[in-house]
Amino acid sequence: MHPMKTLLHRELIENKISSIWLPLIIAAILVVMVIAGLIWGHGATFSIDGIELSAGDQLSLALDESQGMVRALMSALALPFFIPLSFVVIFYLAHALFDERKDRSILFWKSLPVSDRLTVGSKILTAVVVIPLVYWCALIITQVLILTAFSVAFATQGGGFELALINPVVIGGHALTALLALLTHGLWLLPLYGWVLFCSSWAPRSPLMVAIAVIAIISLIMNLWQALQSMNLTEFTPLYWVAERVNNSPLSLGFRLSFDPPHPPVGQAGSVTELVGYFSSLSMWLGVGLGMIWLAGAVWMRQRANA
Amino acid sequence: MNQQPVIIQAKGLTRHYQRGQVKALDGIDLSIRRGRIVGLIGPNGSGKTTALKALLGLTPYSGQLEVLGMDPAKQRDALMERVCFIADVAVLPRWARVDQMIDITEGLHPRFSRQRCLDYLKASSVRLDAKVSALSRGMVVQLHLALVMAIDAEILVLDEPTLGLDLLFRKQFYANLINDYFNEERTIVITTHQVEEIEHILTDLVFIKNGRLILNASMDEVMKRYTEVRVSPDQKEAAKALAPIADRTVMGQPILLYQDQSLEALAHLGTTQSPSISDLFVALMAKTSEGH
Repeated sequence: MHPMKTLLHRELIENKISSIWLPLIIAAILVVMVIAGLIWGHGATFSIDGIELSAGDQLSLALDESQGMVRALMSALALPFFIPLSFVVIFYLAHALFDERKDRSILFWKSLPVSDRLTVGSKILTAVVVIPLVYWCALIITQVLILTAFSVAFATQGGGFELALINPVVIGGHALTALLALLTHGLWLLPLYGWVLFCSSWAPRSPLMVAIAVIAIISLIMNLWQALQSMNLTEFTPLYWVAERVNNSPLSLGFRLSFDPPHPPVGQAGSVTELVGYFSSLSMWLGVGLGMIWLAGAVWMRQRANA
Repeated sequence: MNQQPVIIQAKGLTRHYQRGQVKALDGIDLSIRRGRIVGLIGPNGSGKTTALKALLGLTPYSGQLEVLGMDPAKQRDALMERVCFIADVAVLPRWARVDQMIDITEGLHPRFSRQRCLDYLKASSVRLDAKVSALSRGMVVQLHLALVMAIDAEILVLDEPTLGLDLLFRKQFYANLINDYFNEERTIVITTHQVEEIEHILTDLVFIKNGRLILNASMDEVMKRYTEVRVSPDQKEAAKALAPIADRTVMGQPILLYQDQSLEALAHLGTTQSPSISDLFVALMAKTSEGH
C-alpha cells in the first residue's frame, strides 16, 4: 500500500479535465495546426528566431542556425502550456481543501487512516510537481511531434538538415531545463501556493476570491496609510510581494527572455545556471519558509474541519 | 457477566461552544465493551453527534477519552485503522466512479479487502463503472456500507446512516450489518431517530439530552428496570399510587410506565409488558424536563 501514491492518483482523477485533458487538448491543437499548415499552407510562413521559412521553400541552413531555430521553436511551444498551467494550479489549490468541505466528503476522507499532514502534503505536491509534470510531458510530446513534422516537411522539400531538427541532445537538454524551470517555479511560488491552499482550508465560500481579497484589502489599507503618513510602504504591501514574486519566477523570466532575442530563451545553456541560482538566493528560502507556515496553517484548519 | 474489555472509555467528556454558553457535552461518563451494539439516542441538538465526533477525533474536547487505548484528538489517523464510520448518506465524493472508490480505499486502508467489497457489491444493484453522482441515495449507502464492511475494523460508528432512505433499504441495511458484519469481536455505535428499527439489534441503550446521559444501560437491564402495565379499569387508583414515571392512553386504555418496580407488585394491576425504546425515550425525556 502506498498512501501518497494513492492520494496523488486521487487528485489526478478528481481534476482530470484540467490536469490531464487540457494539456492533451492543447497538444493536439498545436500539432494539428502545424501539420495542417505544413500540408495545406503553401506559401504560409513560419517565422522562428528571426529566420523566415515558407512551407514551399528549398531549405538549406547551417547546422548552428538550425539548432538555434529548434531551441527557439521549443521555447515558443512552451508558452501555450505554461500559461494555462499557472491558472490551473491556482484554481486547483483554491478548491483542493474547499470542495471536500462543501460536499462534506471530508467526512469520508477523514474516516480513512490518513493524517491531515499527508493529505495537505499530497495537495501541495500535486500543485508543485504532479500537474506541472503532466503538462511537461504533453509539451515534450508536442515538441517532438512538431519537430518531426518540420523535419519530414523539409526533407520532402529537398532540405538537408532533418537530422539536426531531431537532435536528442538539443531536445533532451531543453526538456530537462524546462522541467527544472517548472519545479523551480513551483518552489519559488510556494508562499503564494501555500496562502491559496490555506484560504481553501477555511474560507466559507469562493476561496480564490477570499485569497485575493485579503491581499488586496491589506495592500489598500497600507496604501491609504502611506498617503496619510507620507511614508513609503508600497514595497511592503502583500500585493507588491505577490506581483514581484510572480514577475521574477523562472517561467515569467523565461517567457520574457524568449521574446527578447539578446537573452537566451528557456532551454539554452545560460538558463540552467540561472535556475540553479534561484536555489542559492535567500529570497527563495524565505519564501519556502513562509509557504511552509501557510501549509502548517492549512493542516491545523483541516484538523478542525468536521463538516 | 460480560468479560470483554472496555474499548471506549469517557470520563467527564465535555465540549462547550460559544465560550461555554452552549454545552454540547456536559461531563459525560461512558464505557463501552467490545462486542456490543450501542444505540445513542437523543433529540436534535442533544449532543449525540458531538459525542460521536469526539470518539472519532473530529472535534476537540476536554475531559478524558480513550478509544482502543488511544486519544482520538491526537491519534485520529492511527485510530482510523481500527475504527470505521458512516456519517450519513451524502458524504462519498461525487466525482468518483465506484471502481475508483474501491481503488482509493484499498490504497489508503491497510485492512480493506477488495474481494469482500466486490462480493457485497455483487449482491447489490451498484455497478462498478457507475459514478457516485449518478447513484440513488440508497445505492450510495449500499456502496458506503460495502466499503466499510470490507474493512476489518473493531469499531463501527454510524451517525444516522439510513437518513432519507425508504423502508426497504433501511431493513436491508441493518440486515446486512447484522448478518454479514457484526460478530463478538466488533462493536457498533449507532445514532438514529428511527429507534424502532434498531431496537431488536441493540445490546446497550444510551439516552442523551442537553449534553448529559439520562440512561446508560444494557438492554437486559432496561427490560428489568422498566415495565409497562396495561392497567385494568378497576386498578387505576392503585396503579397511580405506585408512582409511574409516565402514563399514556391508547384506545381508551391507560398504559403506565414504572421504573424499578417488582413484577409481582405490578402484575395484579393489569397486563405487564416491556416498553418499546421509543415509548421509554419519550417518557424519560418528559421526566427529565419536569426535573429541570
